[in-house]
Amino acid sequence: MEKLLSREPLYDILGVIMYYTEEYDGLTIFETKEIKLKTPSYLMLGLPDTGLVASISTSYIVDALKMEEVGGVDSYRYFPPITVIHNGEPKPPLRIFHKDNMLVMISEIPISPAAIHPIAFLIVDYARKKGIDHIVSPVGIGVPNRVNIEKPSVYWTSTSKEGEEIMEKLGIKKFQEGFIVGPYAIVLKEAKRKRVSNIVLFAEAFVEFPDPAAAVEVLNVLSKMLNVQINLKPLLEKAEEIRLKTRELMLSTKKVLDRLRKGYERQLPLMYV
Amino acid sequence: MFESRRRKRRDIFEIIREFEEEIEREFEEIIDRFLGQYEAKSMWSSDGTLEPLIEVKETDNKYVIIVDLPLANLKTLSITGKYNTIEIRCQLKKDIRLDRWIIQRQTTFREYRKTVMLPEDADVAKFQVRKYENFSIIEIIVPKKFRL
Repeated sequence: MEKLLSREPLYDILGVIMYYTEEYDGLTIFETKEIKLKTPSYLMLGLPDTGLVASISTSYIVDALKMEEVGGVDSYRYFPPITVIHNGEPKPPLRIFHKDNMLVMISEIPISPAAIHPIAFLIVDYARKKGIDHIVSPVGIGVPNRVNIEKPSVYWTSTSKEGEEIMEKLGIKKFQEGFIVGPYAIVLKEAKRKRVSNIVLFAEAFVEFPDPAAAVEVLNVLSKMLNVQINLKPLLEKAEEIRLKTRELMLSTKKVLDRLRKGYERQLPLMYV
Repeated sequence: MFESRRRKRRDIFEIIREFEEEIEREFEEIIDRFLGQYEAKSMWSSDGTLEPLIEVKETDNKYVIIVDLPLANLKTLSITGKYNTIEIRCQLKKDIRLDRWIIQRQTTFREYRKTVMLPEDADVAKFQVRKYENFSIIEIIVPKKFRL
């Protein structure tokens, strides 16, 4: 595992200032702006998963709070050879945003099975180095009878006492039994092993379709947790449009999830017997 | 002594776990290389039609096709069962244009269209539809042909 850690601003070949660059097992994480994080600090993850709950909720937060883009993650080994162009500017597939005490990582592409472990390790390692107090993972948990649920429920789990205290105050139920499969599962295990606080929010969601309503419920919890006002009305109004525009990301995410044997999430763990 | 033996055993388990993770990663990388990291598919057509997301489930006596139709006007829903296919068409509540997306900037999207092919034992003439209007989701239930 080769690592290059720079404390001084560097310039890349295009003349872009790099405040921080690190090579991590085929992945490169970089910051293009200086980040001064207030405390308690949070790193929110927006990696595509069931119902695109994380993707929808984190992109909405970035927009609603007008967060600043401060870096990204790229990989010649694990990502397809693509560059995303936003507002005329080339961007990496996984971008980092910042405001006050919050960092948000959003991926435009599903994380392929081979990339899950290195990305999860990178996230936990980066969180440790930045002194992040809590990594927050908004996860969709597929429920087969979602069409009969008007308001999806949100559950939580945490790897730290501090995280538990925060969530217990909010009065929502703890996720008691079940499997999680995918990038958030590895982040959770790795965070536990490295003693980094990871709060996972599980929202009931459609397995095969984008679910902005589940994202709204996650955002309701996040807004209380972070003590930030987030106006959710525009998200509710645009919910159908978001579902229409995220069909392709959902389809490719679902194909990856199927390869990850996501069906495990609907199984009862042995210890429950 | 017991402590050091336990630590050694833990270390071995740790090594085995890391070895397993490494094998799994290498295996996934090989699959990625052969199958592509993920299949990127366009669901927008320049004839103004959109492909909806669908899910097909099979039970002992039927097939259930679940179709996600956000922004669709379900009053215009048309479903045809022919041979072993089900064709779904439904107009949008409003026209959609994405002018900043140069690939489809001159296209106005007006309709969902999708043909689903089912196995030979699907009795497509006897399909039933269940609408979940608040979600813009429909379920098409296709019974299986009775076999002696």
